[in-house]
Formats: sequence, C-alpha cells, structure tokens
Amino acid sequence: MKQEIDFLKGARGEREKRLKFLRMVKTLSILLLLVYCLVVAAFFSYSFYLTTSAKKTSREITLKKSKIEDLKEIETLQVVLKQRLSNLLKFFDGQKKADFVVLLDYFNNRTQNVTIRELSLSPDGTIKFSGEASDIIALGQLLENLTSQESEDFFSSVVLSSLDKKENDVSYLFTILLQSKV
Amino acid sequence: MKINLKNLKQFLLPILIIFVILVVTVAVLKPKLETISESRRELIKDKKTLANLTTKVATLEGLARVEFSEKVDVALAVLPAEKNVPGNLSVIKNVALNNGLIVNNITIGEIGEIATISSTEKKAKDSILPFFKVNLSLIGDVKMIKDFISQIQSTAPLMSVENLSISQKKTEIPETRMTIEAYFLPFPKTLGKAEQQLVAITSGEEKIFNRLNEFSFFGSETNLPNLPVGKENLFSP
Repeated sequence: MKQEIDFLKGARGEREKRLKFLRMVKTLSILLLLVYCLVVAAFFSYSFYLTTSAKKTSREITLKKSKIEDLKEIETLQVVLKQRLSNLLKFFDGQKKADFVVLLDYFNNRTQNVTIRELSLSPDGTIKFSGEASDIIALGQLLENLTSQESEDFFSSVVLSSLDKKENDVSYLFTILLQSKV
Repeated sequence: MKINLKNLKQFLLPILIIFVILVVTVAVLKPKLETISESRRELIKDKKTLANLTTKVATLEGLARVEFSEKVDVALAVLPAEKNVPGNLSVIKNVALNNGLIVNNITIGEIGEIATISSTEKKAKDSILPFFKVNLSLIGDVKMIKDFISQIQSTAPLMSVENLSISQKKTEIPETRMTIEAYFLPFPKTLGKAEQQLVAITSGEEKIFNRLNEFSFFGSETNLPNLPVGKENLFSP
C-alpha cells in the first residue's frame, strides 16, 4: 500500500481558513452595502412621500381657504352675532340692580292712604320715600304695610328717618329710607 | 513591524464599502434626515390646519345664511354698532307718548361721549357694554312711569333706567327725573385667521336671542323729537 506524506498540510489548512475568512468579510461587506442601499432608498422614498403629501395638503389648504373666502359673508354674520349675544349674556347676567317696575308697582298700590312727595330709587336698591300722611292713623297704616310679612319680600330694611307734624294741621310729613330686595 | 501590503489589498473592498457608507452617511444621509424630520413636522402641522379648515368649511356650510342674516338684524336693532342718539331719543319720545307721558326735558350725557369712535375707550371699567346717558324729565303719574320703564327696557335699542326720582308738589301731576343708559357695541375689528375655528353659539346665548326676539321694535324712524331749539330769526322779538 502506497502512502504519501504531505509536509504542507498545516500551512494549507491555515491558508484555507484565511481565504474563508476573507470571503466571509467580502460577502458581509457587500451585504452591508446592499442593506445600506436599501436603507438609503427607504429614506429617499419616505422623503418623496413627504414632499408629495406636503404638496397635496398645501393644494387642499388653498382650496379650503378659497372656500372659506367664498363663505366669508356667513362667517361675518356668525362672528357679529356671537359677539353681540355673548356680550348681552354677560350684560344680563351681571345685572343686579333693583327692579324699578316691581318697586313702582308696590308704591303705586300700597301707599294710597298717603301722598307721595318724593320717591327716589337707586340701582343699588336704596329707596328714599318722602310723603304726607293725613293723620297719625294713615301713617301707622303705611308703616304697618311696609313692615308686614308681605313686604318682607320687597325690603330688607325700613327706617323712619324723619317725622314732622304740620302746624295747625293733623297731617304728618315723613321720610322713610328703605333697602330693596328685588 | 512590517505591514504586509498583500494582506491589506485583500481587505480593500470591505474598507472601501465602509468608507463609502461613512461618506454617504455624513454628506447625504445626515442632511436628508434633517430635511425629512423638518418636512414631517411641517406636514403634521399642515394636516392639522387642513383638518381645522375642513371642520370650519363644514360648519359654515351648515349655517343657514338667511336665518343668520335675520338674527343679526335683530341683534343689531337691539344692540347697534354705534351711538344712534336720534334713534334712541325717537324711541324714548314714542314710548313716553304711548304711555301718556309728557316729555319735559331731555339732555344727553357728557358731550365727549357723543363721538362714536371714542366710545369704546370711554367705556366704564365695570360695564360690559359701552353706553351713553340720557337724562329725562317726564310728567305723568306713577303707573304711567312704571309702564314707561317696563316698555323702554324691552324696546330696541337696548336701554336701561339707572336712577329714578319722582317728586310731587301738592296736587300737581308728579314729575319724574330719570337717567337712562343707552347701549351699543362696535363691530369686532377682525374676523380672525382662516384656520381659526368658529366659536359656536351656546344654549345660554340662544336663550338671550329668544329674549331679544321679544323686544318691541319701533321701525327705522330716527327723527329727533320736537324739542325747543334756538330762535330761527335772531332779530325777531
């Protein structure tokens, strides 16, 4: 049986190993380049998509703006109406002044036994009521009316500020200060 | 140490590839990435604007032009855009006459307040609406005055009675002095940006409009009441 001794076996194995490693490095670097190219292409595609979308959106915005321009008249009407109604809402909500109509109605109906000389109503509800009562009974009746259970809904305070008896007469001049609740 | 050029030559391709990758990344990809990021931000912003505009167009198209026009007419009749002294005086005169009152005297608030432009600046700090004052003296009984106040506060243009003083001497008919505030509101100066959303009218504001609808309207008569004026012929006795 013929036998051969390979003296270069070790060196050849080393070379093959190195060649294999080199091939692998080459293949990997080409693969890396390919992947990198794909990534770059993906970025460029995305950039293209963004540009196209931006153009499309910009066109649509211009279109909508021109549509809004056409509807400017109704927009103006809406803005003017909104401005007025919101201000009026605040105005009516903020009104806390005395209700003159209710107070005048009260004085017109409940003070018939005396003569009104002066009646001043202020928005803060302060009332100055000056008048003349034909006698002490009429005055008493008036004060009773003003301090009755029913009048409690109208006034928070009733103060007889002055009272003068007229000379040579049984009539009285009076001034009453009231604070309105309504 | 000796560098084996033959060994280096074998690594030339991978080195070249890495070099190309680095150069392309620095010179092309990095600036492109910055542009993409900027474009993306812009696109998101534009899409938001477009969404706002689309909603606004839909809202505006949903509004009935005729109905809104009528509503604005009512709102402007109640709350005029500028001082209309003759219009207010005409309404005061008509309401007084309707209630059997005699207009004894009318004076308009401060002279400076008559100018329309200065009105907004002169608006009282605590008041929501700009106004001018009308001082009024009326002759008539308490019931007539009560009806006058009730009617003047529910008649266009918007007015409210601020102070009231009734005086009566012996058997004479009572004289009432009162201060009326006549309100107005200038138009908004701008409409706002196109992409700015319309602020919808709330239910509370709808209720206010229903209240305005109940106001009385005296038409467009704006004649000044016949008040005593200076002599036409200065040389007449």
